[in-house]
Amino acid sequence: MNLRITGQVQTSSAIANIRARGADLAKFQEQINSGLRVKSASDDPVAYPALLSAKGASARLSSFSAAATDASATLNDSDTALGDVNDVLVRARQIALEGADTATSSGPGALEALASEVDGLIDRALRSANVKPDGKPLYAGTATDVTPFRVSATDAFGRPTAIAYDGAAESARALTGPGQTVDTRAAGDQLFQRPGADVFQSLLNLRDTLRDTSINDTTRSQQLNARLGDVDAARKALGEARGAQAANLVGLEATQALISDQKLSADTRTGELEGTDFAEAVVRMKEMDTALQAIYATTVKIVQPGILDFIR
Amino acid sequence: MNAYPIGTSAISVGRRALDLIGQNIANAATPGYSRQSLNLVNRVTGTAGTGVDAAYITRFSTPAVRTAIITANADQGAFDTRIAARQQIEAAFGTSDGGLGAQIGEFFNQAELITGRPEDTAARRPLVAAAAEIARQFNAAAGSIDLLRADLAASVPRQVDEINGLAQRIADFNQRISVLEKGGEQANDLRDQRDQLVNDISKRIDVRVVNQPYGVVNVIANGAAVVVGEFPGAFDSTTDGAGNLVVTDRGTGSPVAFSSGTLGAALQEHNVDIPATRQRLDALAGELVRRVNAVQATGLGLGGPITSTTGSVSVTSATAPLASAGLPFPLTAGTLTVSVTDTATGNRTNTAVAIDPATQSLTDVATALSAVPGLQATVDPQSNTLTIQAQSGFAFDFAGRDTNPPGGGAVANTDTAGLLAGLGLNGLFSGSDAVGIAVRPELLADPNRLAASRTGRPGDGTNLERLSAIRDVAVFGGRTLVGEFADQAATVGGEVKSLSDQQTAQAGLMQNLFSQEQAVTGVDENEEFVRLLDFQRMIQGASRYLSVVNGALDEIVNIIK
Repeated sequence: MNLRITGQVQTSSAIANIRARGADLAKFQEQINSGLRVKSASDDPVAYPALLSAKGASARLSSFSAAATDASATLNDSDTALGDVNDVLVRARQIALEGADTATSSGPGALEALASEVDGLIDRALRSANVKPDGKPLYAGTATDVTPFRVSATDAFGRPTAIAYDGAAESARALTGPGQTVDTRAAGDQLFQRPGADVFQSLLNLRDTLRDTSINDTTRSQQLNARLGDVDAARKALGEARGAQAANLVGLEATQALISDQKLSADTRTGELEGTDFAEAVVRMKEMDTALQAIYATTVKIVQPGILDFIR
Repeated sequence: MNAYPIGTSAISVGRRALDLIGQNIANAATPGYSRQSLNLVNRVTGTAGTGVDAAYITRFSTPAVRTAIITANADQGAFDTRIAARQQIEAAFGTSDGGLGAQIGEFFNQAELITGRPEDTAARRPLVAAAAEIARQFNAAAGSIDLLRADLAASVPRQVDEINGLAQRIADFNQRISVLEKGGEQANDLRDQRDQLVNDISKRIDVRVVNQPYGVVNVIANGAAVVVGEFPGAFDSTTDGAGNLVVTDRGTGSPVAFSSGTLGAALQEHNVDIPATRQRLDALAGELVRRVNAVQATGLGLGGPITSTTGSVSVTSATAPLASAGLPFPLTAGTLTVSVTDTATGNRTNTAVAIDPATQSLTDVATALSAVPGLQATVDPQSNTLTIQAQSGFAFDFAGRDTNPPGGGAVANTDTAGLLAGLGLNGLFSGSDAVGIAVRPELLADPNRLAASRTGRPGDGTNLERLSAIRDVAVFGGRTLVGEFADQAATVGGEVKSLSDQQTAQAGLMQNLFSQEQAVTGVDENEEFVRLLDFQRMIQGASRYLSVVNGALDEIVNIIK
């Protein structure tokens, strides 16, 4: 304790304390106003790397979530298209059964009608396989700049007799997590033209059998039964592919739920690291405000009357 | 009879005391002023008292506290300079939202996002824009840090001039004090002014004060004489071959290492700390450029194979082995597999070109590449960069696709030597450090050049997957690119906080030392006024005494009348 306290000491002490408490007050005011305790690395150098990591994780998860949403939309479109092709095959199956029955009961006119309907089904299946719901084909794999299936040969009446695949052999895929991908646009030949389960060929064969006037009814009936098997095989393969895509969709939903949870966790962590503890900040601000006012009051005392005022 | 000399001595001494008290009161708020007091002794002539004398004037001082203050001044100056520099660097780093760390993350987020729709030109633009923003923030950070370093460099000669000026003035005061005190006078006010100059110089450099006879002081700084008696030292600032600032003693020509003070801190920041910070930032930028370019160069854009590419990295000599040609990224012995496509037939060949940086120069590499059918490689003699050009009817790439017709299959790693990234060929970025990093203009103009695929198919985003994977690679002692930025930012932030804490503690210490010194040397007006009353009474008493004595003598004279 110094015995002599001079005016300069009192003045400099008051200035230093006003500066220090004023800075503290401003800091807590800023924290309350912005809602942020950490605005730059120096506010909390220890927490900063974790904060940057949590914010980065949150932004990255948003990106994965958007990619998963895009992938879900594509797979849903694909499911719709595959469902339509499945409907085509179901109808083709019915036609094969009707044809096998008609062959022995109704005659060539009825068979031609069924064949014409199969022509329509072929066209419908081709349209579904070439569908571009977002402007890009669902079944060209990574060759998203081409129409995957084209009629490569026609008969004298312009009816398709062969359908070729122009897409890529690799499926297009999306990144939905670190090192985690999901196939979104399948290679169409692996869906519609698998050996022994060719959708287009089964339809073409069915149609041709229905139109074949060179065979007798018994043979036609036998051949239509065989075509029925082709259609069933194609439908089964398509069903498997559809099931695999459905599994991908379910997986994506699970991924999105997981992403949502992880993002919530990252955002919570971000809030914990950078957010203002309002209760503490308000109390501390009030504390600093009181301290500052006390300093102002005591500083005024410094210039209060001394012995000079008593000298007459 | 001694009555008159006694009375007049009291009045004379009283008036002198009043002058001194007035001087104290007048300088109560003067920085560096030391209060003074008059020491009285009773005057004796023979055996009789004959009044009062002013024996000497005491100038109050606290040498030990003053020494501590001088040391603390230097530390305070160093803290002030360093914290200002570190705060500027932290601001340059952009540690708040949207800063460099966030932008690097955003770049990879965009890459991951468009992996599912790589053919979408509109989706590619944000990725290229994020790359451009990274480059801009690196450039801005490096520019700000360089500007700070330049400002510090400009401050050093100015501070050296100030120190030389202060040293000259201290020497002048030493001379005047010495003359006066050798003549038996007290040069208290001159000592105050001289000590204030020492105080000023101690904020700039760490000095030690050595007291000499007759009030003279020598001022020493790390073995160099700042002031020796009446002779001022002088310093010069120069720049050495490495670009570092050096302060030398003008007398000896030897470098002087100041450890604190504003000048010492400026030299430390300029020569050591800022270059270290820049080096880490450059390393981060360089690693980002190298890794991203290595992926970009070995992929395919929407346009497929290219017909020409020019490296963005120069070698110091086109004929020197690449290992000693000043390349920013080291190369290793390996191969570069180049695919050449006949654009008319679609036929594609793969050729592996052996690369050995220990023996091959840039010219040798150009020769080796020119031997590949369909290719022509040249070295620009002005820029010492490599250009690879496809011959008419051909195009080339480094994606490593299988040959056409199919042959030995795809090549997984087409550039085991790291040549493409090393020479800046077909990359996303140009430059190799924080100040030079930029997105290649052709990619900014046409984001379809971004190599998203390895097959050339528009829906193939596998090369973007490779690009995205860079973010998770531990490259800096276990830290990822973003982790390294966070560590650099946290390091600077930690320094700012630590220096702020030290500055606060130092301010408290300074306040404490100031109070201690003021307790002895400071002027307390109330105390002075009490003493003023004391001497007022003394003069009043002496005057009354003389009046009484005069009256008594008058009475005696009246007897005669």
